Amino acid sequence: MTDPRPSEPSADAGQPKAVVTRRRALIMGAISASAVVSIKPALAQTAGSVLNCEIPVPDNNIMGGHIAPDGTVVSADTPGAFPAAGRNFTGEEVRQAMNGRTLPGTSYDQSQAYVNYIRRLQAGQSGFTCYASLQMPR
Amino acid sequence: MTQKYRAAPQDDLIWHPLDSMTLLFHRPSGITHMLADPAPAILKVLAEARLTTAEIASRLEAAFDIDPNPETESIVEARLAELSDLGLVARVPA
Repeated sequence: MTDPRPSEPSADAGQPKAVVTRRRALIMGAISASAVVSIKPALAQTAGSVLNCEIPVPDNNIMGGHIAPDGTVVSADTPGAFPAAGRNFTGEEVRQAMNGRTLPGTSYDQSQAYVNYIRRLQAGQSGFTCYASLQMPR
Repeated sequence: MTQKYRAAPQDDLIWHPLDSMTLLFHRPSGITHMLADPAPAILKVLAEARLTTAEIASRLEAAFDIDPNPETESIVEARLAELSDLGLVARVPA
């Protein structure tokens, strides 16, 4: 007599082997049955998405770009411009910055410049969907 | 050359198991995915190692106590295509 399986000690007990086999096979599903439903940030109104999504400043594709006080991406030698943030900001950090706090690790003016950059984000840029989620009513 | 797969970096994922499905938040995209079996199990085995479709199917058959079946590999392949499109797994050379 064999010991019951540690992971399912009672679920299979007393059931015919064919039933158990069919039930276990159902776990795998069918080839054509999709196993994933995705909720994009623009549709997700959960606090979790907004808290944890991330916004790079600037977009990772704009290497070496500095951020001017008005939020535009400018060359590194532009007076008054701030260097790239060096880290992504979470949706929650940006939400708080838009309500008057400064982004972590930044001065007030630097934070304002980064927030202005984020406000200028457009569809297709990294962080846009996260920023768009912040605009949705809770 | 045999195709292998790996899961997205674990630091990019936040798991939240529910009764009959699993919620998975993908930080880089900000997208929440609702996963049904066997997708969570596929991601779990790929978090431990880079594997081929056949290797994944073999591990799932062992985990779910399913008799070896050629259809398992076809199902895994279909789910891998789905997860790959979503950026949750990546194809890597063997």
